[in-house]
Amino acid sequence: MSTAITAPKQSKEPGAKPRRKKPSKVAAGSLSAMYPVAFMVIVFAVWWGVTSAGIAPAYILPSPADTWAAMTDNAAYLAQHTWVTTWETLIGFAIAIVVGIAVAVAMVYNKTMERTFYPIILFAQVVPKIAIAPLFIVWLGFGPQPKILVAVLMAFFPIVIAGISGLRAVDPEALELTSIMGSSRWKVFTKVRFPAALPELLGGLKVAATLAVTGAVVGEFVGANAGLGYVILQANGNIDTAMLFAALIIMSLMGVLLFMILDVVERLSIPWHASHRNKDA
Amino acid sequence: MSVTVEEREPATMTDTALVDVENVGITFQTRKNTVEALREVDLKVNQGDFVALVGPSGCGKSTLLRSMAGIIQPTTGTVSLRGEEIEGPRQDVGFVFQRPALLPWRDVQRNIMLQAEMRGMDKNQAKARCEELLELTSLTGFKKSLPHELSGGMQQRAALCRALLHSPEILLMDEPFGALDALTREHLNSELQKLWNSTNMTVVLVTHSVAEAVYLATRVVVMGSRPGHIIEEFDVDLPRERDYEATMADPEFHRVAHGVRELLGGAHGNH
Repeated sequence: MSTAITAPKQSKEPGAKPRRKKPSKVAAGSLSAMYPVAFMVIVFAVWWGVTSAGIAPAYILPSPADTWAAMTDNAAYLAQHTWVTTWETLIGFAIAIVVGIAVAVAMVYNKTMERTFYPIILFAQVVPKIAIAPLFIVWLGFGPQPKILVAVLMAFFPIVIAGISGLRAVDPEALELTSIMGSSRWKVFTKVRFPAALPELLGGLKVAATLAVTGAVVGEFVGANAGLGYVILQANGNIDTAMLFAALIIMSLMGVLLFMILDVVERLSIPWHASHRNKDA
Repeated sequence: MSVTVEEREPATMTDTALVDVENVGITFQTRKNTVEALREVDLKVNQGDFVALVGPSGCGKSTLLRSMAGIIQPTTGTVSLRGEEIEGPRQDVGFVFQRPALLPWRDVQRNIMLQAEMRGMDKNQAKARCEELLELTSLTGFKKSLPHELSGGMQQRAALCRALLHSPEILLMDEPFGALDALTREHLNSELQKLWNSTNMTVVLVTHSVAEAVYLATRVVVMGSRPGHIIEEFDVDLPRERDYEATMADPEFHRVAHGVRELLGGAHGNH
């Protein structure tokens, strides 16, 4: 603190606006990307070091090179199964968004709905998905449907919760204003309530996106003949740890990619929100 | 300055007030008990009047204002506009809150245009009217700014534009400048004074500030609480066009301000 007073880090010319816009953004962006990249490099270096020193046998910890080889040698096989999991995830996520938002709206607009469904939704959330997944297999067979259902169930909850608190976060005076304007409920929803809910809702969607990936894979674990979850089980059975690692990495990348897409959507759709305003401060 | 309020035939009966509050009582039902917000309130607001409602917190002045906007229905008695009982939100009423209540994702212009969208007004006409109002409130250069980029005073001016977009006959203001600093408040008071003076508009203003009330109003209505009622009305015998400093020095200003403060029991400081 005291050093900052004697030697300010950044001297501004007099009269400069504290918030200068564009130029710093790019620099700050690439700089902030440096840290995770540097960290990953260190992780890989340690991983490589441990495996090449022969501390752990390959069936416990495959080397980065082995993992890479597993990925490239089986590119077509992995791509095919990644594709399956991606579809299950995306369809499950999409259904969760539509149903989640609809349920949130219904519960915000209708007290009876809220009293009726809130406990049930909470109950459904508390039941471990992996425990009910076998039941879905019994009901829906070995196709993609039970995986999609598990993905929906996992992604649904954070969307509903975020939707409800987002829709409630609307400025009460803005609502009063609309009633003075004699606005229809639909217009109030589309022009005031829903946009006001977006920041929270998008936060919920980000959490839900990563859960949808987990849901799809959990579904595959229980019974499948395709998908990354299936690949992992197969690799495990063959003690092919390199392949297992390859599948794990692809799965993580999928979740991260989905999250990043939503981050971009968030930036584009709510540039006005404080969370973005202060990002480059 | 062409903020014209649509010219209409003077009411058929010459002594029909623009707003007529007759024997109004309003009670609210809360979970635990009933609260009587207003009892036996009678108030007439004529075309072109500037009426200020002053009183302690909880005297029901905001409730009275909202009943004129049609968003609170009186429990007993009637509120009518041009002899017609108010039963819901009306086309001819504009409302300004203490907080600007601008939508943070809309720029100034689109915030003002919300009024047009909600009321289904003609878009081009509303746009032209919006430009006019922006000009009038010196916001033209900021029409593409988001609310968080504006000062509190500018935000409140934008809210005023929004309230005037549909050329309401009556402008209702609920402590519109209460959250602003003293200088901005004075400035906006002068602007509102000019605006009112240059139009045929009728204004009802709720305020905590006695000075603001007397400076702006043609009539100051003093209210008391538990339950809310009108104690007394003061006519302010000052010209329509008022200079801020000259008015502050006018004996009439002091007579009314003193009278109002006396009734409020000196509990309200020196505003």
